[in-house]
Amino acid sequence: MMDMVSASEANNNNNEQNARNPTTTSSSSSSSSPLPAVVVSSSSSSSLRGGETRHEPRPLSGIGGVGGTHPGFMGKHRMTAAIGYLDQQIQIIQEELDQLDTLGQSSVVCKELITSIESVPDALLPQTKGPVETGWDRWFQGGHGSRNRKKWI
Amino acid sequence: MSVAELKERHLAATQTVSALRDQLKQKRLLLLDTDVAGYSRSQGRTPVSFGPTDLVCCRTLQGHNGKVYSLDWTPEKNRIVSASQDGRLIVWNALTSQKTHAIKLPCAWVMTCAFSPTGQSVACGGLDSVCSIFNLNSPTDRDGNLPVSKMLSGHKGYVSSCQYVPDEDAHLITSSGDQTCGLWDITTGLRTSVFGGEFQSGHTADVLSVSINGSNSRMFVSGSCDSTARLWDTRVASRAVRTFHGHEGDVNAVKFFPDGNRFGTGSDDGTCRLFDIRTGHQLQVYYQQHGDNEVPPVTSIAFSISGRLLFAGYSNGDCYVWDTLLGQVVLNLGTLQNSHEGRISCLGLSADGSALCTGSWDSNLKIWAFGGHRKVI
Repeated sequence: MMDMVSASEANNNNNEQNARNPTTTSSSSSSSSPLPAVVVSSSSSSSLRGGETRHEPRPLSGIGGVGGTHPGFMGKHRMTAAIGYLDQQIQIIQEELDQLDTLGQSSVVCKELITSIESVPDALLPQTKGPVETGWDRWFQGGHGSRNRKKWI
Repeated sequence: MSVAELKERHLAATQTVSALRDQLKQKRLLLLDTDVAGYSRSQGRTPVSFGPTDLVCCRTLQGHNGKVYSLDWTPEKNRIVSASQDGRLIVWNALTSQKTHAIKLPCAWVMTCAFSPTGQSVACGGLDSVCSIFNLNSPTDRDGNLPVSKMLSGHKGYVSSCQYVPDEDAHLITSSGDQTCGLWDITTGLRTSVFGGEFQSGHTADVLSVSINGSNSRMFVSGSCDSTARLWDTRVASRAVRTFHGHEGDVNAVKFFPDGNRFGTGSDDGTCRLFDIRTGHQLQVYYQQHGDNEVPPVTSIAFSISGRLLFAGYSNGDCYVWDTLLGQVVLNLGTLQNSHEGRISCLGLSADGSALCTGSWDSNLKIWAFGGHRKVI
């Protein structure tokens, strides 16, 4: 049902954005069950490209699910689950903060990056480490692979 | 506990999360003593310099009757599969420009396609929320159509992106508008793992893109409308290994860097970024004004085989070639002779890195290669 709706909406809609971004599909799938309280509920509508900016967790302010729940009410179970989720987030962020104490600065990584890049022969660069593979120039050889003509200069 | 008490706890926890996130952001900033461009300049590196006829369009693959949305190369040889608004997949031999298969899809609203590692199958997905597998060696049916050999059902939203796990035709990873990614066993048609989902410490909005680490196929990254990219370990579906903040809009494209220790992203905020997976550092932002003060979204990205070049397609038809070390645009494929006449929606490098394929809303695919004088150092 959802798929037909989204397909027909995409069909009717001249805006290519929507065909590529079936917000109806995502909206309906995320609204088929109430949204987690921590999530900015507008994220479903902002799945349109170029939509909202960062999705920060919003305090619970009686945001219920779509589909008939009374505004101002959210089941205790869902709230407990939401709190559990937030506690998990706190733990994850704390772990990352602790980990940062042992991490090197970005300059160390940058040095590694240069080494990595300069160690690999690259066919698309005007200047590159060898060896050059003979197959690199096959795109400029005449014939369809079966003959080995010299390339055009 | 009463509802009121629960609400209070929820509010307190939300505020703690917010405060800790800010603290994390500040602490990370302190560790960013330089970006890649600054460091490279200090090491005497100069930008890649292309002559006017160095990177040329050497093939135009015509055949689709609608916008091209996705493409993928085989890991070997010269074949490409592409997916289009016309509801078809086409398999091309890019070297000869010939079409070897034209697959009419049961659901025309396709968004993504992928070639299997052996080149025997292709996968696609889209608005039908299903990932369909086609075996290219299967006999066609009465109407001349290739039958679907497997349907991977389970997502509750559109399939935005899919990629086979390297070195085996049996597993695939998908991203979806239902905010999750999935790992699938193609033999059984079952989803082995779900990454994310409600209260699961995954993305909090549609997931638009995935990229599997070529050096360690147990790791993959995903990009989402929640403005983050997340790194996953396929053995641990319950939570992301790391979440990468920084973008200010939907992350439309993610791609692992060739060495497997970094990955790139492209976003609606008009920037591409390079992140390090081990430290989580944001190493570089790739942003340049496009003129007229416009900031077009990045639709797709790909790295050259060494990683020195980052190709980025934008919604206004530009295709910038970034020097990843110096953080500068060194070429715009969108303004070259014989370039596309519409938005570039997808990009991919051939397995040996000798050619770039671009797919566009103008319904064509183009192959770009280096045709100038090459200096070997």
